[in-house]
This record gives sequence, C-alpha cells and structure tokens, in this order.
Amino acid sequence: MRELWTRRLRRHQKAQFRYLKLVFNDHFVLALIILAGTLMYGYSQTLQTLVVSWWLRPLVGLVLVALLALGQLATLVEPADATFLLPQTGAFAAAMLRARRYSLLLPGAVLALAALAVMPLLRVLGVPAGSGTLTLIVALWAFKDTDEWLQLLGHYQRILPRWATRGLLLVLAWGAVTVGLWVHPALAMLVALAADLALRWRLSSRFAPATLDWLSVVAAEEKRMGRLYRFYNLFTDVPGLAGGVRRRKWLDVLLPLAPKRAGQPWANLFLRGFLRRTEFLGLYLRLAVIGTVVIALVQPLWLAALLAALFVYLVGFQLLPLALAYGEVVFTHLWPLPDQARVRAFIALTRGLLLVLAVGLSVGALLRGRWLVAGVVLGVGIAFGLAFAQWYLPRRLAKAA
Amino acid sequence: MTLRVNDVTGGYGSLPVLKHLSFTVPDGAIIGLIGLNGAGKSTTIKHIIGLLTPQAGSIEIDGATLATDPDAYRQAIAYVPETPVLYQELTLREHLELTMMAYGLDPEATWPLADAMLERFRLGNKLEWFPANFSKGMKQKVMIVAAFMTQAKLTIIDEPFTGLDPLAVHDLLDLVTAARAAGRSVLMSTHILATAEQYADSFVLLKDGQVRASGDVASLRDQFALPDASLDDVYLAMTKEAADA
Repeated sequence: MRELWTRRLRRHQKAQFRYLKLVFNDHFVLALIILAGTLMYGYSQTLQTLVVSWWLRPLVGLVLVALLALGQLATLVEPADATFLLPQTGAFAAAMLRARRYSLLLPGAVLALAALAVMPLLRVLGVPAGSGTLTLIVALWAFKDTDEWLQLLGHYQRILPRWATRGLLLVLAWGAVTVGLWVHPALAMLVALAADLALRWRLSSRFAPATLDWLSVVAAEEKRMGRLYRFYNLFTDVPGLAGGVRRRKWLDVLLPLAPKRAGQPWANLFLRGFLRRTEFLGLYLRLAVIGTVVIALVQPLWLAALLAALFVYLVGFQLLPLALAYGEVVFTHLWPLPDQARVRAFIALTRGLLLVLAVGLSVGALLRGRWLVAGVVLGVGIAFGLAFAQWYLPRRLAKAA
Repeated sequence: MTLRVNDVTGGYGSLPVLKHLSFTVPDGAIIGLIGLNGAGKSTTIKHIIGLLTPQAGSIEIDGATLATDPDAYRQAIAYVPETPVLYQELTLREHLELTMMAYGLDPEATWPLADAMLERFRLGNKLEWFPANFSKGMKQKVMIVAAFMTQAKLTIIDEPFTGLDPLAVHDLLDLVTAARAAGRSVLMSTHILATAEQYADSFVLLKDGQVRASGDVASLRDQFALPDASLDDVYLAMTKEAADA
C-alpha cells in the first residue's frame, strides 16, 4: 500500500506539473504579477484609511474560512480500485492516511500565507500582531487537520456521528476566528486544538479500516479531479475531460431556439449540450458576470474596449470543445448529413452566445450611466464576436477535423 | 437494396485486419456475420458504416459509395453498436427526435412506430429520462428503437443479444423478421449461433479477416463436408482448422 501510494503520488505530481506549466505560461504569469501588485497596493492603501466597523471581523473570518474550505482530501483513488483492491480494503487505510497527510501540505502553506497577509490588519484591529499571527496560523492548521480527518472518516461507515460534518466545522471555525479577531486569536487556537484533539482521541478507539465505502471515495476523488481539470481547462485543452450532465428542466424554455426541423439535429444537439453539460453554461455565466463587473469598474475607455474584446475571445475559446464533444458518438458520423452541417450549426450557436455576451458586458457601464463606454464595449464586443464566429471558427474547425 | 462488399482490404492504421473480403447482402434478407473474437466482424461493420475507410476495394449500397454519394449511402443504413453509445445530455424523447431530424423523417409518421416499439420494450414511460443512466440492456433497447424507427433499407446490428433479457431478445427478433417481410435487410454479427441458425437466411463466416465460407446452412454443410451438421458444428469445424493451420 505504501508503494502503491508513492507510485501514484509521483505519477499524479508529474501530471500536475505538466498542466501547471501550461497554466502558468509567460502571459499568465505577467498578468498575475500585475494583478498581485495592484492588489497589494490597494490593500496597503485601504489599510491606511480603514475605519473599523462591526462587519470587518466577521468578513475577515469568512475569507479565512473560505480558504480553509479550499483544500480537499486527495486520495488519488481510481474507479478500478473498488474492484481490484476490494480484498485489500483494510490495508488500504495506510494509503488513505498517507493521502490525508499529503493533502495537508498545500492548504497548510496557503493558510499560513493568508495569516501572514492578515498580520497588518491585526494591528489595525488592536490585536498584538506577532503573537496574534502565530496563534492564528496554529488555529487554521488545527482546523484544517480536523477538516481532513472529517473528510477521510466520512468515507468510512458509521464512525462519525451524523452531526459531525464539514459544514458544522466551518461554521465553528468562522465563529472562533471572528471572536479571536476581537479578543486574541489564541482563543481560536484553543477551540481548534480542542476540536482536533477530541476527534483524534475518539478516533483511536473507533477507527475500523475495513468499513471503507469505496463508492463514496471513488465518487469524491472523481469529483475533485474533475474540478481540477475543469480549472486547467480554462487555460489549455485537457484530454478526456469528462464533464457531467444536469437535467436543468427549467432551461427547457430556451430549447425552442433550435427548431426541431429535419436536417437540423446539430443545432438541437449543440444547444442542449451547452445548456445541460456542466462545463459550459456555468463558465459562460461566470465569465460574463466577471467581465461585466470589471468593465463597469475600469476607468479608461481603451481599457474597457480591450477587456470587452478579451472576454469575448475568452468565452468563444472556452466554447470550442463543444464542437468536438460528440466525436465519440458514432451516430454523428452516420447521419446522412454533410459534414458542413455540424460546423454551420456550431458557428450559429457561438455567434448567438457571443452577441448576447457583448450586450451583457455593456450593461454594467450602462447602469453607471457611462454611455460612451457602454456603446464602445457593445460595438467592440459585437465586432469581435462576429469576427470570432464567422472568420476564426471555420478555420479553426477545419484544422481540428 | 443490395450491399456489395468488393475485395475489401482494410483495418486500423497500416496493419490490414481484413484481407480481400467480399460478400453481398441482398434485398429482404437476414445475414449473420459469424466468427471468433478478433476475426474481423466489428472491423467489417466499421468499414460498412464508414468509420473506417478501405485501403483497397469498395463497398457500395445500390451503386452508391461513401465517396460518390455519402448522403444516399448513409440514409440507407441504420446501426446498433455492440456497446450502447448515447448522448449524456439528451432525454430518451430527444434521442428519437434527433434521429428523426438527422434522417429527415416525418415526426407525425414516425412517432407511432417509435411508440409501438417503446411499449414493446417497456420504455414507454421513460421518455423524459436520460438514457445514459439506464442499465446496459435498456440502453441497447434505446439504440434498437432508434435504428428500426428509421426504416433504413439496411440495419446493421453488432452482437445484438448480449445484455438483453430473453423477452427483449424475442421482441428484437420479431422486429428483424418484420423488417425482412417489409423488404428491408438486416446484417447482424453474433456469437449466439442457435438463434442465428434459426432466424438468418444465410451466413458469412469470417476467419482471420477473410471469408472462410458463406451461404445458407445447407450450403455451409456442403462446403465443410458435414452433412446434417448444425451451425454450431460447422463453426467448431472452422475453429479446428484455425488451430491446425
């Protein structure tokens, strides 16, 4: 089991490094540095003029707890394990425990950095910065340790009482950190250590490694990797990314957009794929909202125009995988339709979505009463969307076919 | 309708799996494609439906090939794959609607056919479900309904009986014989020899990517010099040859 884990971990890390290299390419790193610089500058400016109001402490607590919730238990379990390792279920606990320890590393670093970032804020809040930061780090680590235990034990049957959930732990952490920011983070540390030690003490007598629920581990790990790959997929093509599907019956009102006419299966298929696959609609809406907000906030006109073009391009690019999503379903090859039917239907869908996006992007500026910016964003968005759909897509899809 | 496979050589990449394969599926006939695992049954089917392109030779349906008239060629074929493949994001109803759109079928005329088949396969109350979550046998039924609904001149079924319950096997055979009665043809690959012998009009026996023998059971008996033999005996005789060779 120990060897199995190290072998898997090595393979996993190799794959992750490959993707991270693609994610952190030169342009992205440059953008990231600029973004981080602006953020830090803004943070230091805000600190100087900050008035401590009642919501500040709960808000900082919420941010820290959100970071606490980020790291998931990485078991690296594969679906076939549920069959092949079934007789080894008890021994597999060794791999699970290693997985838990490994899963602490990255969140631990992130939480420590977050606590360090809060350090100047502590001074503003009237908490001793040095001891406050130190105890805050320990508190967050102890909460994370408890959290990873809860996640691990959740996969074993009947070990945890029903009320011992991650949600409860996060609420507890939020309360403790908020109070800690009022008095002293040492208080949060005491709560966290108490929870952690209580859990570990209970555990030592009740842990039964043979009750591992394989299906639940496999499902959780698939979900985690899916999320990770969807993130990578924002920057690069991830082969074999299997997205899920939701029925989303309430979206059926949009289906008449693709009329059910003979010879039109592609338009129907693409529209349903866009609305029901988990990887497209959410992404489209997220990018649209972010774009609208950012465009509403930036000052210079040229920057707003540039951002409009950028977001239209980004969204258009993210839709591309849908064009090839049905290559594995033989029927799409058997249909008595010319190959151009697929390309035409996809261009029509992309064009429609990008034009709607262009309108959406200009709404933020419009609400702020900046007519010129809204007009320019709309114009640039429409022009760029049309160019993307009518000029770029046919060439790109011809190359991919 | 006549499907003509002429001297086809082909396979995956440069390695030929099929070697100089020739056979014919005439109008209104049920043809069984028989052979060991790896003999080339699925590869043959993939060439016919156009997922693979022959390296040499030609495949034509009523004179049309995929190169000369792809739309007419594809319009003539319906296909039930060995492993059901379905769209994750479409309901059962939408799968059938999509097939109608793709084949240019008139929904008014086709739905009664589809409904009758859905009833027969006990899927009538599942039209709004995602078939991607069905059991294997139920998925297979969805594929069968979609294929037979098109009333294509040639229906190709790859290993149709695995995963179906006995009642569904019976219903499928009814559909197949009804298609033959209506003048349409069915080409099916299978390992269930007893059923094949009972229902198919003639057989194509594949061995190592070549046609070892073809014809109805009587003619196969002659070719293997095995009077009174069943298809099972003929099949075993053929595999013996493979072992001796």
